[in-house]
Amino acid sequence: MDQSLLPNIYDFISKTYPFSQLSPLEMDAVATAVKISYHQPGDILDDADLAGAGLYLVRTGACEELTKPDGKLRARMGVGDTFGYTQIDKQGRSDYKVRFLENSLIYFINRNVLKLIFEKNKAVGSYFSSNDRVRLHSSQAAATARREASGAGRTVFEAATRHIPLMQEDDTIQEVAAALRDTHSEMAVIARGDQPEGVITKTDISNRAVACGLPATAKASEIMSRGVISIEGSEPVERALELMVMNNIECLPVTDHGRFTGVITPTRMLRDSRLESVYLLRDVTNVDSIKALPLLSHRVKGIFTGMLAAGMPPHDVQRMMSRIADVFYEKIISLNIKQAGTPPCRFAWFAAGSLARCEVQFLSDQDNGIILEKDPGKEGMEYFARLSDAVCHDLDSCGYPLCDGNYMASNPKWRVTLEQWERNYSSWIADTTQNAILNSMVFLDIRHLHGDAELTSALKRHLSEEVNANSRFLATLCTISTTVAPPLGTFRQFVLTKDGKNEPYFNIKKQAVNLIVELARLYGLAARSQETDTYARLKAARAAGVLRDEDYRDLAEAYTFINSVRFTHQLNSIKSGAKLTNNLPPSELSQFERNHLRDAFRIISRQQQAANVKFASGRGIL
Amino acid sequence: MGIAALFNPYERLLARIKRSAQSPDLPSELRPFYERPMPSGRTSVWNVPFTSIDFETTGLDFKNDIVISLGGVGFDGPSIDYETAFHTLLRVDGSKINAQSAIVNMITPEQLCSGEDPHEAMLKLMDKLSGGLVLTHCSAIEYHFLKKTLGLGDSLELPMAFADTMQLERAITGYHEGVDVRLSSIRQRRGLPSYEAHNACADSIATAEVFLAQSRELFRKRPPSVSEIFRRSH
Repeated sequence: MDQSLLPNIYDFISKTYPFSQLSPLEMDAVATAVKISYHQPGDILDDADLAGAGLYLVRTGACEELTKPDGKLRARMGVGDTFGYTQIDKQGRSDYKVRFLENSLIYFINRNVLKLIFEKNKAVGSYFSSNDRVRLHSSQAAATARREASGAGRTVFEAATRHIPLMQEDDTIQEVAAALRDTHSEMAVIARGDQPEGVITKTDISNRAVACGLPATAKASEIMSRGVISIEGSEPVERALELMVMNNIECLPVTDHGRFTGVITPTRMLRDSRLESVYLLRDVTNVDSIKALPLLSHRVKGIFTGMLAAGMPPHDVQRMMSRIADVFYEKIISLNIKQAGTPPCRFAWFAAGSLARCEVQFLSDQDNGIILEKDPGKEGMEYFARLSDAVCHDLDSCGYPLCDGNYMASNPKWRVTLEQWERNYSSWIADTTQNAILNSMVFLDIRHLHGDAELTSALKRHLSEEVNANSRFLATLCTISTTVAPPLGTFRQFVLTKDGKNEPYFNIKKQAVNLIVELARLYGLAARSQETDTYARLKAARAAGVLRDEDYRDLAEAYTFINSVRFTHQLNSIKSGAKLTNNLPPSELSQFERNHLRDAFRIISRQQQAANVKFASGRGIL
Repeated sequence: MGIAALFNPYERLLARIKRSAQSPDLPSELRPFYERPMPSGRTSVWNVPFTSIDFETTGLDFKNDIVISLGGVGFDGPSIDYETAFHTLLRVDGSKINAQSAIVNMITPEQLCSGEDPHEAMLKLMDKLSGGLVLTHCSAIEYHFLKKTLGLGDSLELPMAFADTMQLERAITGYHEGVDVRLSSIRQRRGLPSYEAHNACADSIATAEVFLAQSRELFRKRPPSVSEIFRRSH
């Protein structure tokens, strides 16, 4: 059937991920196989409707998946969401049932058609594979995580540019030239459908068209270079370089599962925000006056956005931002000590919270403290008071805002002797009331910054020993860490918080990122690990046998994806000059992000339940 | 026909079809369609041949206007089966297309000149529809244009039962005056996606979707019977 006759379904399918990735022919096959049904609130789909049936796509309305037999919410679905795929190879009984919440129009595609399509289009098929982790993994955004795990270099995707005109074979030379002008590109890719067939450079237009007297209306196919060598985006950058050298070309079309998505050039490959940050680190290290630092700190924003725009993995971005923060801290502390004179006793300056975890974002506020070797007397105390006031103030003027909770060395409570710190920790850990722990949570993550590293290590050892000597503590920490549930009923406004302007939003930090950070802390402490980085904690827990490999991979994958969504949106707000926030209005999330976030939330929810079973007993790890 | 059946519109329809089948005025090429049995009034609408159709015409004057395209889609139980969707452009004498209807229908005169012979197309359509339930929005249009194109006189009935989403909507809204029963308004009230109007196939699907919603509103989970739907459609 002609596509124009079924505008609605084609329109809808072509805009709904992952169907949007199908070729026109495949989309045709899917569209004509659709069956439409209508459901009212309270209607249930169960067993035979789902097991061995096919894929359901919500056209309008809303419904939810409920686990069996307890009827717990598994996921909530709205327009463009799909369900049923994981059940297509089951028989008789389904793993969950679906209940409708609103009047809903549902598109249904039966399993035989799906199998046929997915046999042809593996990329779309793999998206629907039954495991949420696999799905997150198969998403392009998580390609970075994969690379991180394998330790390989950047992929072509990360270095490629997508801003290049894609023209068709029968477009005219004039149209190609206009597209080159409008996109400031050196070359255009000429395709048949989505398949790159050739390329035209600006030089080609001059040499092969104008110089040969071809009319401007001649077809692009007449002057394009054929037999184009292209590269899959998932390949390492090195492979692209190799192809360029071997074939003496300077521009390679990049494909995603055979479909054109952009090009990669040597300049693109060399542009690396890591270099810019290396320069900044060098400049900060060379500075000998505090006055020069705020000016240098202005470059941090550009580096942050550069790293995000270059598609650097979220974790690498945070590590680099933390490294930069470390250098600013070090410089500010040592310059202030130079002014204040020799300290009256040995001491250690440590970072707490996100800097301790090496998870600094742009504009993360400061959390830190001082451990004194011994009581330096009244005068000595005044020395540290002056020093810490100056340091915290200077940090503030370098883009590390003062902490709202006053968790800073400038607060006399957090500028005490090792002995006092140890007593603090002992009492927080022995108290096990939720308030005591909540107030000290930020100090459960500490990392040495300046001074006598042995003091920080001693305190960390003390923390670890106390935690493991007091099994009730982990139980309480677990309760606190799993209080906030991920927003499983994603993006239907009734489950979202409202901000002052009464717009529903989802706080990606509080409702997602923190949940995994807290689980990782819990497992890290249980594994007696001194690590503070979230991934490192999870790894340590796996190594210690506290966390199964399976669970480790689930959490790491979910964490990477959630952070990538968070960063993408922060990058967008920076670009549009909006205020940087962790509040995402659901309307700003793409279908792709929503689908994958739901997978990530499901993982978190599962892991929270598992942690509750493990720790709630108060006997530590069973 | 029993006394009770006199008051049952569907039984009266069956009687008219039976009379038409025996009428000497019935063109012989149409006779085979009248030999197909009609479903009994008590059968569930989900268990009978059930097709939603829509005609695009040059206007609403049955005498002078003509059909320029037709489209439809079949039900498979209580769901719409896209695979059965069809769409046909009919050949039209150029002089009969006025500019306005071409604009409304987005069909160019060139397309129509190469369309299918109207009589042939209607015979094919009869093959899909006869002996079953036919859904339209405002059935008078399809009913009269179908009869006219086939050359059926006023005294002869079509061998099919018409269901009408416009009448069903009136039944749902309590036959109040001033209720907007245009397809687009009905869909809007139910939050159904808006359709690009005036393509016969898309409109027939839009109508079918409305029917799914209406049948749930009128009969909840119970499958409605053919005579229940027919009665509320007329």
